[in-house]
Amino acid sequence: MTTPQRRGPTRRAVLRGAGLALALPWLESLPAFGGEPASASAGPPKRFACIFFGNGVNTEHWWARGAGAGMELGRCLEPLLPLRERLLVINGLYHENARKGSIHSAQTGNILSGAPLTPGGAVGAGISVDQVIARHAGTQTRLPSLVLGCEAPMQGIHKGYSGVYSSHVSWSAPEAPVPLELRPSLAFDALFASRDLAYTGSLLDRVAEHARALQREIAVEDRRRLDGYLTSVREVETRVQRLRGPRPAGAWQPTLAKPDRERPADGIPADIREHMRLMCDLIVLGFRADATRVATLMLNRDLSGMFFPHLGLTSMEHHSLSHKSESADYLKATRFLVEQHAYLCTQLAAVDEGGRSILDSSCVLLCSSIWKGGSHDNAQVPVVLAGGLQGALRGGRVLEYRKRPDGERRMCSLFLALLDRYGIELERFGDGERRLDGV
Amino acid sequence: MPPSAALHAFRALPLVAGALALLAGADADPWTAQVRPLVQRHCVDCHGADTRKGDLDLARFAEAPQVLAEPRTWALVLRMVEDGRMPPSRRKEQPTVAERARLAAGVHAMLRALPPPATPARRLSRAEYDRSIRDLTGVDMGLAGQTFPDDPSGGEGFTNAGEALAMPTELFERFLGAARGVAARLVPTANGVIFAAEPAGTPSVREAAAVARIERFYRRHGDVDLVAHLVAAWRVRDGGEPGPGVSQDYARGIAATLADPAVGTWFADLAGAWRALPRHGTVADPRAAVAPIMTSIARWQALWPLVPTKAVAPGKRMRSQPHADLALRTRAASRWFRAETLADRVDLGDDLAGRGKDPVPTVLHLAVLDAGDGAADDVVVVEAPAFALPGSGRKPGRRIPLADVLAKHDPAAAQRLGFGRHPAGAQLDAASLALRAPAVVAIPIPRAALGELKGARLELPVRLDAPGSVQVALLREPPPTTGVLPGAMVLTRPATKARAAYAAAIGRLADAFPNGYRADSLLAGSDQPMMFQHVRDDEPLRRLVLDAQRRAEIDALWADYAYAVREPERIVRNFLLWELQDSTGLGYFHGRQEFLRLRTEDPAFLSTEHLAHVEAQFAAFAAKSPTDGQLALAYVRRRIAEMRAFQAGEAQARERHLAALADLAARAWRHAADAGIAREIRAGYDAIVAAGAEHEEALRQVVIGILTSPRFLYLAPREVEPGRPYDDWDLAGRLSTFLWSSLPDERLRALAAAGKLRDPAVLVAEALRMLDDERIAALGAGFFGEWLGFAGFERHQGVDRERFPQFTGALQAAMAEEPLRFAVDLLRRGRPLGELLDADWTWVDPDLARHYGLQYPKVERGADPWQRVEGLRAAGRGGILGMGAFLTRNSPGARTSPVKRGVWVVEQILGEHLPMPPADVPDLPDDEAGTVGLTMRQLVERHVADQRCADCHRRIDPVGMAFEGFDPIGRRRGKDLAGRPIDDRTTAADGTAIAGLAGLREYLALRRRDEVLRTLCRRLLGYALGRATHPADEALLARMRAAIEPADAGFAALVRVIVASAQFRCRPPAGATKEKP
Repeated sequence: MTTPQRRGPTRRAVLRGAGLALALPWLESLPAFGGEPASASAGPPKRFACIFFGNGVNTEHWWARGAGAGMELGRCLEPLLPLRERLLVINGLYHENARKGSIHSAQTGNILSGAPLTPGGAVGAGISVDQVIARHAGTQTRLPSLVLGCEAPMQGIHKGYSGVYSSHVSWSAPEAPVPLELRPSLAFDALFASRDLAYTGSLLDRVAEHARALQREIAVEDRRRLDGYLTSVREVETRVQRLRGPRPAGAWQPTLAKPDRERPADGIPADIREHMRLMCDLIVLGFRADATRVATLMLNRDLSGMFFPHLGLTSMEHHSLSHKSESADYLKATRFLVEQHAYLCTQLAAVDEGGRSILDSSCVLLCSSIWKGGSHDNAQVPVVLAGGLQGALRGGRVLEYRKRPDGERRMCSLFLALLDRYGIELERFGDGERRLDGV
Repeated sequence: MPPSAALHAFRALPLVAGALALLAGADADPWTAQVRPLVQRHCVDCHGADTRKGDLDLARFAEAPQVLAEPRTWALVLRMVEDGRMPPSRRKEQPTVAERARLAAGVHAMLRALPPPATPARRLSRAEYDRSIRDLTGVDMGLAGQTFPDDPSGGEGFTNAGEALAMPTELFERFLGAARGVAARLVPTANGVIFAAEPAGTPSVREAAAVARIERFYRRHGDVDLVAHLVAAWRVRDGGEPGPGVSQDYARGIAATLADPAVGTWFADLAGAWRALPRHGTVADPRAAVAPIMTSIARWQALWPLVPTKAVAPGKRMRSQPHADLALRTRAASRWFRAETLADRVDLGDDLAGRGKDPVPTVLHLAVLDAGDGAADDVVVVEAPAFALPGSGRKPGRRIPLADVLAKHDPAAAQRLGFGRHPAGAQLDAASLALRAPAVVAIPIPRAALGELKGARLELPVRLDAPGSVQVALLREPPPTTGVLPGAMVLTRPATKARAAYAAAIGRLADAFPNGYRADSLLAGSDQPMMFQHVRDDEPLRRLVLDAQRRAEIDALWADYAYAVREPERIVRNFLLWELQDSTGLGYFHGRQEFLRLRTEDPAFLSTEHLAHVEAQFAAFAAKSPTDGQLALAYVRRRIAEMRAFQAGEAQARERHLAALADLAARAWRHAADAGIAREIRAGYDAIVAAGAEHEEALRQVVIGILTSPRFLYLAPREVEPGRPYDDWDLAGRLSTFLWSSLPDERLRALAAAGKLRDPAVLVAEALRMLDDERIAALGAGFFGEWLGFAGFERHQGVDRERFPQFTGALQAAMAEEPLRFAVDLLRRGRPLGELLDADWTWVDPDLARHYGLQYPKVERGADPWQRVEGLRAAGRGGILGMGAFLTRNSPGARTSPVKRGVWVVEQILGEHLPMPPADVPDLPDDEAGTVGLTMRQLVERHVADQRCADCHRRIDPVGMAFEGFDPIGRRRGKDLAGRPIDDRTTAADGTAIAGLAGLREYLALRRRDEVLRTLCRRLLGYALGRATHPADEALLARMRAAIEPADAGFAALVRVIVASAQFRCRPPAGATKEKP
């Protein structure tokens, strides 16, 4: 199982805090309360988003050439044309461990981790790159990461591998896929209602009451022994209050203090277009309010049963369509999914955070776990990055790795290079041991 | 350090005996006679009323009672004096060694008159937290070990010392985080709640976990050794009991089945073999003796084979679940007769192919035998037997009648067989045969015809032509018997007595001897991606083998599975999805706009309204298509009804979740599971739900509350009258904390609830029970680990790994594990305490055995690599002193440290107190190969030359030098790292000559036994009470010491005395020392 290894002792100071959190799934990494909000001098933070879809692309029309404003895009990627100068189209990356098991499920659960997958109905993968960033960046926000989906996870077993791998690309620990939030209303609550903090607040009230009751039951000489407990409870309460409340004056202020839209309706939108758009809007909202800095959206899962009736595709669902991946129908489906990425990036580009858009501070990854659905080919996978990462990522480029030896075209090498840019320097990640050349 | 430290020092000083004598002969008030004059002379210049250095005024103590009112102040004074830190060295006038001893003895004698202090209320230590969570949830999560800082140690040097265990905010946050981690692992089930090894947020993870639990059950209880059961049944046959290791029910069931007259009639060979067994017990190898019975059973089982999934409608596409449902049922491991098992006809045949070395047969044998009932006049007709030639494409091949072939190539045989003749004179066509049972007829395959018959199969359709029964078979060898032929087809006609009798008998046999007891895999379904499911298929196992308790257990596991995956909802959802997705023409909803926009993700998908619509659609389908449509409609109705029932049952499941949490709280809080706790849990849950949480989230929040409550995190006994025993629940908690570093188990809880634990005899009995339990490993790690200093050795970083590449991570882990295994073994086997130092055995894994140069025993594959080995002393080791962990821990990198090793023995084993060394001591070289020509011994010997060092080093160095035969990572050696020969002979401070480790062991065991045992007593008492020992504990310590005077006394002797003591059981009497923060 892949656990990220930290590089060198130079970063040991950071590690003491972060390394601890790295060992634990997000639910446990509460010592967030102790984290101070961003300091006064700091500007907007870096964000990370990933949009995933299953079953691969229409490979005939998935291409890009040229550079900068002169970049040309194949029909699959055309929706991204207005963003081309911030775009990094990367060809030829792959995961060694996604090529070892059977098709679909065993090709997908490790798209963001590169970890080996445990077969036979057991659940075991590796921590994914978005969750590594969340461990690092998520301690300063109400929510370490927002993990969304537009299609329900698949259960049962498919070809010797749990359906969990088809349905989850975000993993907080080797055996812990991050639950997908499908319902926009609950995702909204997670960002803004701070339920968890509210629960913690009332929990602290209850345990303080316990302590006072206990003090009355025990011997006089022992009562003061609980004072330290009560003091700590009060102190944590104060920290929780602070996290729920506004940021201290002087600290970097996000452009949004309160949500400027209504809470979405309960339930799930019947129209898939509306559902996806709403999920993208929630990511934008979360980033604007700095309620989270990491978001992962599965537009659909691998082996997807999603229909696209609005595209006139009424006969087959996405997975069946993908078996004719070079068809005009599949082109329509692929373009539709790429449009969601374009939409998210455009929205992020429209928010000005003091001379710089959120997209300029972000990296928005678009990927699928399969290249060509008809043959379940994942010798390379489709990857597009958008965003500037505050100058650390230069767009308007096409990076070509298809002719490189396997060791020089690992997806995990890209992750290592990206993690560096978030200030997370790992020696290894998944099967990657070196930075991707040329990022 | 608390007063006891002073005691150590006191006893350690050479003039102890003299000081005591002085004391004894003096005034009853040692204060006036001995202490005060020394304080006046040496202390009050600085610590007077005006000067008050360090905020300490010693001048104000005029009378003894004032001293007794502030025992902690005086404990501090003692420590400073004995450490040599006071009076400060810059002060000219220093007390003599004798004066220091007198002062210590005097203060000690005064404090001793006080009642012992109470154990202060305290939080759980890190280790206790993890062990408690493990015992509470059944999952060893180790969250505190991963995320909490090290606990400080105090008292007698342990991390369970009450005074030291504070709760700073950062730590409270860690406790809160750990509680959230536990809560994240909570999984509600149909029957309550359980905890998973990892956060269980997604249904798939729960599914995998539920399936893993089921598989674990089957691995433990799902394999049936039929031979063993036959042997057990044999015992039953002869009037005995089935015996251990088998299912009692199944063994008795087999005996009854084999004695059944119906079985005897129809399966005479089997019944005969059973009867032929001699009396049980007269046979040397009973398993071999039942082999013929196994053979017979295996043959008969051919009549009720497993039916593979795809046997239903093979080659035909199935209409999703309704068909899959059928398939899954027929897959069952239980008996499903072949359709033709109960029949009056059978198609016999032979493909005439050569097998292995055997050529194509020249003759086949048609056996027509009396079946078990032996009815007369049983006639069969073989209807137009023929050779069927292979067809081409869809065209069937030609059939050549057997009668024609024989007439042409072997007319004599044709004549003998008698085509067209019926023995009862009935009509028969010329190509057919009729035979009366019993008969075995040979059917030759003429060689001359083989060319013409290439690839042909001989087919003999056999039909029973009488109301009785026959057995028929087509064989390549003549049958060995004209009696019953095991496994051969039995023909009976419908609605005859023979049919009824045979059906009953074969049913009985198939019930008793199924082909399988459970399916090998839980997975079943069709290749449709969505249709693989985990399916229960263990009917024979459940019916025949499992006892009532196990049946309930596996039923609950499957119920948990269904709950975890919300199976009834999933089935409905998947069915509808299939109808939508299947594009082969079977999907009923396929391509229909109204359904295309369905989102199965939406909870509204399974709403009453929507499902009514779905049902109406299928009703319309059924009206159009009576077969497929009806099947689908019946299916969808049944599944929706099941789903509704499941949903209706959810309210009860939720109640069970809350009940489970109330139980969890009672156990966590060391409290009776009473209505008050149930009310409190429910109130907490209701409040969280009212705040907007869904059910599971509310459960998690309740768990977090339980585990962050001080009722769990603190060991704070309820107030009782001074001098009286603590409340039963607090005693339960004290005992389980002492021995297991954990919560009381069910038995302790039951005794607490019954109010029995205040009886010291009961408490002691429980302690002894708990000693022999695997949880005693906590005492091994907590007490021995921290006393002897091997706790945390797995994190020891002192080894120069470049210099010692042999010191691998695995070896380090093994060294850390060895003393723990050793200690646990010592405890559980009740070995004499002396073995701590001189045991001739230890535990090793292959790495450690190699490191020690020990012979690693042969073990089976997959066995525990840790093995107990003997002969340590012969290998130059033995007891803890020779263990790698201590030798390595007390070596700084690239050299040994006789000083560190010596200090470890002097302080930890002998319990002496060593003052701080002077600040200006020069360091020894880092590497023993770079010591400017001096050996380590020569360097160390310089100590004694320096007067400031000599006092202590005379005690330390000889002991440390005895270890020189071991290198810095604990290997035996004859030369040091610079290649100079080792000399590990030395002379103890009392003049005893010591030769190496063996000599040291002997010295400690013979000359210093008393000190060693006293140290053990003092440390253990400190650990048990979670506080430093106090002068007032001396009487108890003396009782402990007396209890282990016999050479064979084990650890239990100490535990008895401690657990029965007032210090352990009771609140101290009024006037006890108050602990100050």
